[in-house]
Amino acid sequence: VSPSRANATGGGDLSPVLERARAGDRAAQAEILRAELPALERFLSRFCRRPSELEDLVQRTLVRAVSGFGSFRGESSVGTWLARIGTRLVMDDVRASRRRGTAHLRLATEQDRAAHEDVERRIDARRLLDRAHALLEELPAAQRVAFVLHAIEGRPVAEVAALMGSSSVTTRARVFWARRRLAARLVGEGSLADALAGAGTREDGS
Amino acid sequence: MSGRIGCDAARARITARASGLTSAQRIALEEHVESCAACAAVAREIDALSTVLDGGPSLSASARERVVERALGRAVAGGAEVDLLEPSPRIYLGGARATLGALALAAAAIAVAVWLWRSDSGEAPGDVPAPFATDEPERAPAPNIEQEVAPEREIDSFERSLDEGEVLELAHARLEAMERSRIAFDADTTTVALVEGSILFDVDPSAGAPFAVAYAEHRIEVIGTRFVVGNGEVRVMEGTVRVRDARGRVRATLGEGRTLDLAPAEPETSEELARARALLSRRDVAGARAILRALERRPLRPAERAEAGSLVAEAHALSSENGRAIEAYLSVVEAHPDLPAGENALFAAARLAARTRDTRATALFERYLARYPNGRFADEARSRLHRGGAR
Repeated sequence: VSPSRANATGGGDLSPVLERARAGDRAAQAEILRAELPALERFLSRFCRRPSELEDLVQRTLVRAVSGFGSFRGESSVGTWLARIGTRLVMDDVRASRRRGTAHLRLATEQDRAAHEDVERRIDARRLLDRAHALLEELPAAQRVAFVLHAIEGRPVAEVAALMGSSSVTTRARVFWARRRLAARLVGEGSLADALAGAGTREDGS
Repeated sequence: MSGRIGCDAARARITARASGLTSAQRIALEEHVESCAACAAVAREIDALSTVLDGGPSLSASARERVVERALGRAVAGGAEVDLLEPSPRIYLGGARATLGALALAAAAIAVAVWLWRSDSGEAPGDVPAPFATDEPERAPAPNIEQEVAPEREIDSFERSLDEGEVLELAHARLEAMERSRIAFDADTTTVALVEGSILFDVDPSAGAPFAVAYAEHRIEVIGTRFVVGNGEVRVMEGTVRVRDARGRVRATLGEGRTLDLAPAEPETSEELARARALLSRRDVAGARAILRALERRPLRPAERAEAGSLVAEAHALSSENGRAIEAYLSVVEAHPDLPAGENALFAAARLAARTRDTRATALFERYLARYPNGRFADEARSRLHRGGAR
């Protein structure tokens, strides 16, 4: 049993390792974080283009988690708790990047190319990922996060609402507008599906 | 009960596929997508987006170990820097109008309190609210939460912007900006005009008072519901709203899950004809022609078409295109000989021909008299013919 899953119900019985983590035991905290890291990493990767961005985001999430262990009482699983922290950081980052006006497209660097044998496939994947993020970055921050959590991550609306600290109605509205805008862009101005199929064709060597 | 669903429901299910659909929902979606190319395209694109994002970055084993170790080390060295309970910035302006004498009561009333949570924790060193998922006993308000009791005042009309996610409580409604928006509030009619952006409205039914949103030349009336307005549409999340157009006519009554395109309704043809005529009276030929060209694409009643044709002729005449003007008048005559507009057009053609010394003038007056011997302009036509040369 995952040390963090052992307490997923109701606030009462925390697993021994969680009790130690709450008391400030670094070894216990490390054990929990390592157990939760793959799921957290996968979740946060939806919002990042590059490994360095992902590492930074995961790092900040864990720093906040470690700082907050003492007050964690098991109302939810550690995974959900970490996701909430990560969601808040993503919201902040997305809003900040919208304010700054990020550059949307970045071609693969020579270093990227050298690092991988399958250069064409890598570049295609990178470009597609850049394009997907560029599309998502056009959405208001809350719509983007709600959409990714629900439509891509597959989290139910109620869970997305809890993660974002909003109501289900608000969440449904955010997902609705995000889908509406994305669909209009994708279907109307340039198909990501076609680009993906094209990349796959080239990957197959045709 | 039919399992058929519309595009709105289908697209909501396309988005919800990842989080699981019942078999009935899935079958209904598949049936819809098979017969709807537009929804099929949306589903394909969302799938592609999901696939691409699945291929996002990942951490190496060493990076995973690094982030854990750093987190533990930084937390030990740096101490707590947790600001995870920051709510969205929100401003409450709500509440009924009150008097100065109620100041003491108002001080205790949340409805007129102005709360401001700053989202930038960097501005509040030492601010350590609890992390997200704790159930810590209630504490004294954290230092970064500024709580003020607003001085007693009426909620006047105002106009202001809202940042994305900003919440505004206004009278008995709660507004949440879905994106950066701008609103104007009319206190007298409890009406919010959405100038730009999109807003989620949540109106309290227990207030029993009207609340309305003005948007895109429509008025959305509601008593107790949740709906989103913006991007040219109104979408009802819960409850019911009634949508009126600029003339006060009910365009639709929308229930939960329904969306209405709020593109302004076409003005009445009679209004457009009147506008074209007014523009011609000011010699604004280009403006009038633009309206008349737009009207040509509408299905018009015979009288309206005759009127429009006559205005086209007048526009030509004002542009000194007299030959075209006469032809346009005669087209009206040919198409609508039994309408008053037909009679008017024939006499106008004859008169214009006479004024411009067109050789057809006499024949046109004679034609008028032959067709309308007792017409409104018969005496004048006879007089002109009697004077000779139809002058």
